[in-house]
Amino acid sequence: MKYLITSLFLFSLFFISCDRDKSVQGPLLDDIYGEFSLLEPFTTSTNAVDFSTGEQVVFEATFGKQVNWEIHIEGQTSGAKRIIEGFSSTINATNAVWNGRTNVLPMFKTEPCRAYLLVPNEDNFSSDTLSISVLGERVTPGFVVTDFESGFNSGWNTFLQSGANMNFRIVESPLAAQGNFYYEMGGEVPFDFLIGLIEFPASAQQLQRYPLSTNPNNVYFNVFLYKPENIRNEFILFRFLEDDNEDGTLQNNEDVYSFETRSLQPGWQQISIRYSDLVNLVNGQPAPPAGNGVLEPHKLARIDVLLLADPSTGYSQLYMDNLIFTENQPLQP
Amino acid sequence: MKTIIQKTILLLLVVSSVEGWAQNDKFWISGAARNVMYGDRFENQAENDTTTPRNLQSGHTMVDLGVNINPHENVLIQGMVRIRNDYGGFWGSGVTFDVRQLNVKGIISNVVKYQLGDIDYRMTPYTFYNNPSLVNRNPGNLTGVPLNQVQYDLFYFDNNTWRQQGAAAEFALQFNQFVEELEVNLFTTRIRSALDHDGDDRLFSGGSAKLIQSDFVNISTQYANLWDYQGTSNNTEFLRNPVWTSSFETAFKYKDINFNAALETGRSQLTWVDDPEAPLLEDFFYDAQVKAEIPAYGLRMMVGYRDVGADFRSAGAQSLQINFNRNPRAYGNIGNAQNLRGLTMLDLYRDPSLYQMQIREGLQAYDPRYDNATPYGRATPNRRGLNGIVNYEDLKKRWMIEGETEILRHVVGEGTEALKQFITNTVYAELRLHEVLKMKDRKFVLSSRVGFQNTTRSGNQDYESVDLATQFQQHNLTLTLFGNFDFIAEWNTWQTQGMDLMAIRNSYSVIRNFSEFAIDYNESIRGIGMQYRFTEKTNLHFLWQTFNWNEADADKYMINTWTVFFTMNF
Repeated sequence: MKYLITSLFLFSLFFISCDRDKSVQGPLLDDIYGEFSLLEPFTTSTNAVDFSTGEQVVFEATFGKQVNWEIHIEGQTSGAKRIIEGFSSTINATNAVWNGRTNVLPMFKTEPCRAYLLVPNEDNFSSDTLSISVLGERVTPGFVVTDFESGFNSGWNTFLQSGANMNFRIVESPLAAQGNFYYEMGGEVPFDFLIGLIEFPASAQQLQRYPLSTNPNNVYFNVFLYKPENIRNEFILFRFLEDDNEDGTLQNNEDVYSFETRSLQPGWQQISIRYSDLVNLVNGQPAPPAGNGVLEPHKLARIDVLLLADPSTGYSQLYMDNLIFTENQPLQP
Repeated sequence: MKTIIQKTILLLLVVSSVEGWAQNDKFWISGAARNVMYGDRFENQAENDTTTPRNLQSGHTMVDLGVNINPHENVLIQGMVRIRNDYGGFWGSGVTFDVRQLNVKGIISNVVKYQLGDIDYRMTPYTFYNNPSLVNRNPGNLTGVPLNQVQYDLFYFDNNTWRQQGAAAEFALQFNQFVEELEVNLFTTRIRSALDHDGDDRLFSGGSAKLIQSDFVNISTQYANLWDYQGTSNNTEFLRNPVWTSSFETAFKYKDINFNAALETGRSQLTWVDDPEAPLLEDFFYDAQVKAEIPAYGLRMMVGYRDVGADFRSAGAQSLQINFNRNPRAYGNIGNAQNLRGLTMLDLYRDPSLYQMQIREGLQAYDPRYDNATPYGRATPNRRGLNGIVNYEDLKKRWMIEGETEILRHVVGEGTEALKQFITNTVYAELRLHEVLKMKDRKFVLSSRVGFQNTTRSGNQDYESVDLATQFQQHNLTLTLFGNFDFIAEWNTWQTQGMDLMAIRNSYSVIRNFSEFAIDYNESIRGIGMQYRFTEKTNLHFLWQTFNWNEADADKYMINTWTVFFTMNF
């Protein structure tokens, strides 16, 4: 009997001595019902920042309780926007650092910006608007195929149908998604889907092949595309031509991978695709590749961009900017 | 109507004769029969309601026919078919046939008892236990009549079992020394099918092992796990809710006092494997009780202390009987705007659609009016405190009185470090006047139950303070007029006033917000009736009740209802 009682006592102690999470359950009532107050005003660590050298901007503010807050940063010239969100009573370097990134294209340029703080659940709250001058643009890691900032490369090739209002050209504008230049493609071809194309061979950069990783799962192709508000019929095809036998020429028995995109939203948007998700397309349908059938980004020798539209639908137009390969993740603009 | 009653009586006579004819060792029939008629009259006292029907009538006749087949001495096959005809159905159009239960039970080699199919199972209040809500725990003379039928339909039995579908087995080993016996019980049941839901088959499995050392001491361990059977669907997240507990019980006699001391302790986990959003909730509990009984004085006492962690999750013990998200079928919409009518005591006593039969993961929402202190039974998480019962019964059985108290606190605060306190007190008294007046072959019983439940919290800020008070009382009268013919009456009231901040939980049963629950209302049922006891298992009731709902700044209405209830078990 005494053994039983002793063993049970020890067994019970095992359970009773267990640790227990004693933190308050659920959100704090102070945060839900407590009175809102701004204890320390909204400030910034600097009024001028050069993102190209890795500088950052730190925002600070302190509230009387935890709240949902949003810091909005807007480029005065480009219209670029960055929103930093959080739920806390303190805004500081742990949760409110701006390194030049953007949420809404275009990317920030060398331009004046304004920043303000919003507390969505406090209608009566408004912060001071802070001015920040961007002295240098953020440098995004990756291999740039082109950002059109250096003009038309003589190594590129274009083909334009003999349609109406054909317009394939580099345009300078502060509204470019990146930098000050983008590539405009437009025209009306009533007899064919293809309106025009532009080829970006690696040789235009004095390279035999693009210097990419051998693992297609780690390579991402990124491009910024802009659809004008009144365009409904666009679609664009990207083709990736591999030099399978590495002889410096592209032949019909080598791999060509593609992806096409349609139904874009008006305005600038980023399109990113992992290299391993590319397929060979024949008339828009997946088909076996003509070459070795192995996705080999390190053998990529040329990229073709084709603007297409249903011939019966009239004029079509798209802008393109910042063709760039990144590793391990899509471009973080 | 007359035809239906005639047909019902005829059917019951046939059933009775079949029973007599077929009753033998190999095959017999058992079951139940019921005939119910309701007549409701609704009166909206809040507005000139020209939309809601004033009078509604409903009812049904129902027979459960169970076939028991005993092909040989170690196997018993039971099947039960329910035939039900709702009033208004003609020529079979309103008749439904359902299989109410199917099971096979038997003994393998005179050692292992097994049961397949429908099984009624329970273990301990922390592992697998069907808890009635406070409002349903003590039905009265009138309200108990339909509630018994609701509970019969839903397989809610007095022994707190849940009806499940699966398999169970048990065996016992006897020893010559040190311990007398080891009893082992195992079960597994399927809670839901992958075919019917967007997810894997969900199983509830477990068992217990009880070591009986002697008449005085036993130790047991229990295990229950609600889990998803991986691979039965394309689902990639898998529920796991294991609970382990251990119990110790000792009983002994000291002088003229019988003592019983029991302890149960254990812990639980709840998570969804491969769901990156899912938390791992782990916690423990312990529950100790000491009972004492002095038969010579008719006195019984119990005192207990328990601590159930805030993250303790036990699906088998915390699943609610009542689905508080549902609305009653009778007068589901009221008023000129046809607003949804919330469930009431009256509905809880007679509407089976407000209940559920499956155990559920996590913690379901509950209505604090009907039990804010222990909505999930003794296994209600985040509760710590004392409870006690004192019961005294006159040695000549002329009267009895019982007092019950429970003083609980949060273990950890919800939204604040200030802790809520829950106090529930109930007093029940029963006066058996037929014993006092020495009335032979008659019953004359008066009984009353009065109780309150208070939830309070105070803190540094006003918004931390809550104060919700519920009061309830129930008075019953039973008087035998002659023979087996009784007059019965009941007055039942329930009222709640005040405010509490109720936790709103996400699908992982973690608190994500709070909502203010403020109410000032009362409801009452008053009624009289007659009951005729044909036999112990066959009764006829005629009841008249008036139900009042009175909520400040909201609904105010009355439902008068008459009911005829014929019930029979065979």
